[in-house]
Amino acid sequence: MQFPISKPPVGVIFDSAMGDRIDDALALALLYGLDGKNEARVVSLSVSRTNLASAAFCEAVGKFYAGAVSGAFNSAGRALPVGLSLPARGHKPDEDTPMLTVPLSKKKPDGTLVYNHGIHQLNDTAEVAPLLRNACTAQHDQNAIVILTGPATNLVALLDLPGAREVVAAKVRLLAIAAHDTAMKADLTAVRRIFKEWPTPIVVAGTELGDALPYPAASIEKDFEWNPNHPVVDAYRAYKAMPYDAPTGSMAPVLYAIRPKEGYFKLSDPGTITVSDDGRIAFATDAAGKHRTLTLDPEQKDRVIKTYTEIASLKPVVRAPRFPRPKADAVKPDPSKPEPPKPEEK
Amino acid sequence: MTRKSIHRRTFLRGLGAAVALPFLDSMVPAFASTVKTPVRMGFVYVPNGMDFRNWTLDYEGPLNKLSKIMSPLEPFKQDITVLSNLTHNNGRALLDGPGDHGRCCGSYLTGVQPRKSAVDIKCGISMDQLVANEIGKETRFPSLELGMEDARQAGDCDSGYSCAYTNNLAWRSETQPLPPVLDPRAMFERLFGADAGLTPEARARRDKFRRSVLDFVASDTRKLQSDLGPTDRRKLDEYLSSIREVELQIERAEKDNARIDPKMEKPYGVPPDFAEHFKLMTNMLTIALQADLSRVFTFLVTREGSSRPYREIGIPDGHHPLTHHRNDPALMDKVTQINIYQMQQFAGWVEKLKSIKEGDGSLLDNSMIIYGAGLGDGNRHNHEDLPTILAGRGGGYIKSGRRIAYRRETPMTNLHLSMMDRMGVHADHFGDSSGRLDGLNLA
Amino acid sequence: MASGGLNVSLFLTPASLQENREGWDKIVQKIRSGEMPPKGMPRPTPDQVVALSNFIQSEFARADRNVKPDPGRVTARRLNRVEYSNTIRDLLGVDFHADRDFPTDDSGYGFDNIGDVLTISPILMEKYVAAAERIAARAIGADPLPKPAEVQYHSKDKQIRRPDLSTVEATHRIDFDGEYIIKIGLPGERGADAKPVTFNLWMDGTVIHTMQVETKPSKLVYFDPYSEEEFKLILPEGDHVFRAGFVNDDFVKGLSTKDAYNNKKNKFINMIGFVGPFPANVEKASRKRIMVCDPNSGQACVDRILSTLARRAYRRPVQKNEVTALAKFVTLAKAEHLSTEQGVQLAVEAMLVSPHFLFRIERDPADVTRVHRVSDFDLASRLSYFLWSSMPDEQLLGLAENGTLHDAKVLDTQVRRMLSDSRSAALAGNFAGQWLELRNLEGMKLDPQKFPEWGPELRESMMTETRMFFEHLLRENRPLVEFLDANYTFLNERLAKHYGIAGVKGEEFRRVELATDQRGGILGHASVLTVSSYPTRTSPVIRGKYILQNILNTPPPPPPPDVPALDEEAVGNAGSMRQQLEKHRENAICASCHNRMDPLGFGLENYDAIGRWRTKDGKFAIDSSGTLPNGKSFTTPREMRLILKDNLPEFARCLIDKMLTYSLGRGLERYDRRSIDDIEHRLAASDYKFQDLVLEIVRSLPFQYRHGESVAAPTAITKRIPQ
Repeated sequence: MQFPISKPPVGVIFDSAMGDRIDDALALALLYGLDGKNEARVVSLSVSRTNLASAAFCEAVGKFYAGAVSGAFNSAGRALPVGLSLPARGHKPDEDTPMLTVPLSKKKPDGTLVYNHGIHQLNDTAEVAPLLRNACTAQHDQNAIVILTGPATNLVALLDLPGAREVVAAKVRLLAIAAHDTAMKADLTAVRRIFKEWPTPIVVAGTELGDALPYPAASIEKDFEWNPNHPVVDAYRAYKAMPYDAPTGSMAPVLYAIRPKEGYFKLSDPGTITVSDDGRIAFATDAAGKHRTLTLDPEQKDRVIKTYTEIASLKPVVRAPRFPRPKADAVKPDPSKPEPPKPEEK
Repeated sequence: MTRKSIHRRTFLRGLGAAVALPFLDSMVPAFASTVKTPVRMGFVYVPNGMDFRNWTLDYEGPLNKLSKIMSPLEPFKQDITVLSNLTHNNGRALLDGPGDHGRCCGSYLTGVQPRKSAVDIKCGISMDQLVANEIGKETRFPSLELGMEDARQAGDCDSGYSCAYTNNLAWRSETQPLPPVLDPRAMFERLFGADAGLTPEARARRDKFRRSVLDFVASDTRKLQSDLGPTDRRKLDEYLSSIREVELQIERAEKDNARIDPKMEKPYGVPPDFAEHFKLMTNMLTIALQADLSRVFTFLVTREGSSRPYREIGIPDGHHPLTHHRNDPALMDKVTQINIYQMQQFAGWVEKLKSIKEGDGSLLDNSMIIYGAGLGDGNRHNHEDLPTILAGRGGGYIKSGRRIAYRRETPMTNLHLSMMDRMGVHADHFGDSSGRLDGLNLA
Repeated sequence: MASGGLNVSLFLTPASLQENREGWDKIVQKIRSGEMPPKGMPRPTPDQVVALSNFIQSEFARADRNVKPDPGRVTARRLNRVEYSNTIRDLLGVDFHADRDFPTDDSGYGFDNIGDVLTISPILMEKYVAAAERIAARAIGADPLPKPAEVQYHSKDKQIRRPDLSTVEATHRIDFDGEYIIKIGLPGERGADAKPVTFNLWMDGTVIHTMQVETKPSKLVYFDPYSEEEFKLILPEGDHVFRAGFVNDDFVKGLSTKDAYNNKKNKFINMIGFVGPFPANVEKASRKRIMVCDPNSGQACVDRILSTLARRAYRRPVQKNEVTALAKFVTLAKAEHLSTEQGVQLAVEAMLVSPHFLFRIERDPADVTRVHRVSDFDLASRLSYFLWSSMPDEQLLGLAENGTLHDAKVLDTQVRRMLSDSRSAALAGNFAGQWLELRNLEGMKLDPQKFPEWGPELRESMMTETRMFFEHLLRENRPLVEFLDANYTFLNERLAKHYGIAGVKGEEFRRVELATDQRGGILGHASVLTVSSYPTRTSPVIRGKYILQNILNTPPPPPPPDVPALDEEAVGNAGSMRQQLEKHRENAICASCHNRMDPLGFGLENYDAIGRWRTKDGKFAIDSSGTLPNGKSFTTPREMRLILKDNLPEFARCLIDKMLTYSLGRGLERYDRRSIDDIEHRLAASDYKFQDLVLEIVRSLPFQYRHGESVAAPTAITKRIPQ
């Protein structure tokens, strides 16, 4: 006999093309901020950009928050690795970008790297489809959300895994997409299949929404002063010459999906979304449709930007491990190994 | 060499007596061109994970220096493949709470998450049984299940998981585990017959009687079943299908009148010494594989979560309590010692398999034997990077002598699918598989 | 707010009393035991606690009155290994050990007779077929014996185990019932003035031969002194553990271990051999019992033989057509030029593989949903498998035939009769063996360095003490409280010495009054104290858990994942176990359970890992004091026993739960609660007498009634996702 157990915070699966756009990094900071406030748990990180540094950056951000925050590196009593899709046959891997390489190569005075990560070769990353499926299986029914800010390649791979569709239908309550034209265009077949086949409701934030809500450079300058080293801030500075206000397209789906009732955005009636050849989305109202769009609510603009900057700049929350290792002096923990796993949240 | 070879059968009949195996082997070259050597598949499972400090290799590709625990395999490193990062997601808690030992063993060959229940067991059909169902009709025993440790007799097994999950590897159906044979004598009698003293006529008559008894009870059961509730009917379904299995065995034995002379004394009882017991069991298994009595086996060396002490090597503490060593180096070393000791026994068997010539190669070459554990590190209870060594070349298909590290979260069931392919049993997917394993099919 | 994984918000409404009954039960339990509210919060007064629990109980009862009583339903149960062996013994008089031949039966709810978990695999079927052949052949003995053969077990071939210095043990299969010559190899010699020593041969723990063996030099000139003893015994077919040893061999005790097998210094046993089988010149009782008339006298007699036996084997009357079907085997055998007796043998074989024999199937009525009394024949089997782990005897079958067995008076008389029958020893072996985990004793592999005394003799003595104690309480209808505290126990010399009790001589067990308060009740039994220890030392945690689970009926939840099974393993160097455990309890999460477990375990720290009294553990003095979550504290095992005695109702309930589970062969459900409550109330009124417990179980609704199962398959409720 088990006690009725209260559900843990919603589990978030975050799939991006980390390295292409700076708002992906901001979205990740926002996500970990909400994790720290116990409103969500990051349960999976994966990238559709076929570049080792993309995965490494995600892991570095995760580790930056982990040890402190449960996060993907400690959730469900285990360390989930970062998923990475492989280039299609005959294609070259995607290139490194400064927003990845600058923070990843940042060194301390003693010459060691500032941001730790364990991704040095392909085998340090995970197969994407099983990773996403496995992350879903560890969630309570209807207590997971999927955030997609890059091409839909990885989500299609998930759907094509035998049995995974049923898992997604059971566990995931929402897919929230940042529909950047370039990302949509990068894998048109995939995104069209997602809109046709994905078994849960989908909410889409178009490019315009991100453009209308710029992230103030001033926040980067002052809100993160609590730590001279922050991987997202370093990425931001490397992405473009400062000061600049970045569009925040990738942040909207995170904020909406975790706080759907806050009224930050205008939510459309149900409908159906199609994607044109140039990657733009078109929405048609349809009472039976499973898609909705998020658009700007001018009255909420300041509030949303305030929320973005406040939460994205939150410090990692130190949660004491439930079971501190006794006799820590007996064997020094191996820093190259992931943190000892933490038991499942009860 | 297969038992189907008409030449051999005629030959044996003409001889009219039990024939020793080495003699059979000498016949092989004459028929080698016409008869395909079968591939054998098996699993040797050790419990409680490994001491990972002394398990992992830090390189990929050709095997060079082996880890401490693998070191007994040093002389055979060209014959083994070390596979890393294979994961059993269904061994993880996935909301079911504690019970990693129960789960990891239940999911090991089934690829599904066992139902957490002490009585209402539900797992999945295991991959060895999928293979046995397909190719088992060609041999006397579709599959063989062996073990060395008697099941715990009282109390709970693991945090609400039925002992059925930790006592068995092979599952014939979702609800029906196949218990391993533990006693060497029982194994001997099963393989080579308890009827050593019977004349062929007496044996034929006995089989006839057995079949009539089975006919009788089967028809009785069907009558009985017609007005039972679903649960009771399911119990009797199990009974009926077991009857059919025994009938098939009799049929197969009748078709092939040759008796295998194992050239060994019938063992009595269970040897108290671990190495001795292991050797006896694998000796018989070797003969069974060599004589093609079966091509599929599972060997649960000790039950998952086993607390057997290893006095043989001066370790009076139970295996399972030791694995929760709290990073005390003295205790961790004992775990390593147990891991090595078990590996030594396995290496001894590999040596034996390699020494048996078969066609152009050895019995080992024609086998795929997984030596593995259902937990990664026994202390951490993790289900990724499960210790996995593949011994043999699967009939010359596997380029051995290497370590292959797969990408993380690669399902263990992908290995199962690849092995099933080699056994000629093709499935689109199995358990939580996401595809086949690369690198295992390079001749 | 969540405390110990409990979502309290679910318990704030009156309706939750019904919706979350199990949760409320736990809450009441925790309040009663004083675990809730946690330290530092205002505590309810004892009166308030009683009032609360009475209120909740009455709320439950009120709800129950509106629900139709449900007796539950037991799944068709195959005989487990013990039941199979016993049934074969009582049906045919053949001694067969299914536990050595058949695969292990899986257990559920702590017992191995649960219908839902007992499955049949092809390998078990093979065993059934082979066993039926052998058993039928042995029962009737119509087949000729093979030529005698010799098997020897030598120490040099590592074929024998040495449980202690003067004992050897070998597992040997006797292939046929018959007479055998036993040979014992005795190398070496002792001094010229050495006395003869008593030699015993045990089979499966029972002495089957005793003799005196000379140990002084034989005066013959040998480089390697050696002698052999030989004797003849009639042995039953099957796997047996043979043990040959010198008993009360004081000479060996004065010998250093390295000289134990030096043939100049000692005479010892190094071989045990068997030659046989030779025909035993006695007619088999089993054969007489089956052949109720001369089978060669014609078909009528064959039919009579078969129907008589089938009625007993199937535990119900048999139909004419069933007998006809069985008789066909006689025809078949004759067609193969075999005798009529061999034909009967074949029919017996068929009966033993039949589902009517192997399963206990209770039939549903036409209206499957109707709650109905089980048939008198099913009731006879329920009784006999509960109390005897075997088939009903003639009296039970006769009463079932008359249709009077279910009569309350008849039933009570039968239960009392059955309990006084020696077959009720099965309750001690199977029920107590599993409830108290005594069956694990056999598998205990204690560290011989630390516990050189550990061996089969001590192990069996421990087992016998608890078995006899259990049987005594049962047969004499003693109050259950004596399980927790009694001023007597059952000892022989070996165990008395182990306990440091003087004046008990010889191998025989007898009742011994306890002069000190070191021991009393099962928690002072070495058997219980040993199965709840590690191979190398005691474990307060395991012992505490043992008490919570098997005595107080409040098993602690399993530890959360990745919590090492405590730092107990590292004990010895860093501080006493107690200190280490106390450190462990500083962690709030660990503490919630360990605050309950550890103090109880500490209360038993005066007993070492094999149950000897001690006042020191290594260099640390034993501190067996403890404080329970309810604030009660104790400083000695005796004081802890007294506290446990206050929990008699909890203990009684524990025993009711376990015994009802065992008697029904199914797990208990929510609807059984009423029956359990009823039983407890009546027991309380009769001073919790043991036989009354058995009687109340037999009288209870779930034992006498059942409902059928509708044809629609029960829907599985699962949160699992399809694979």
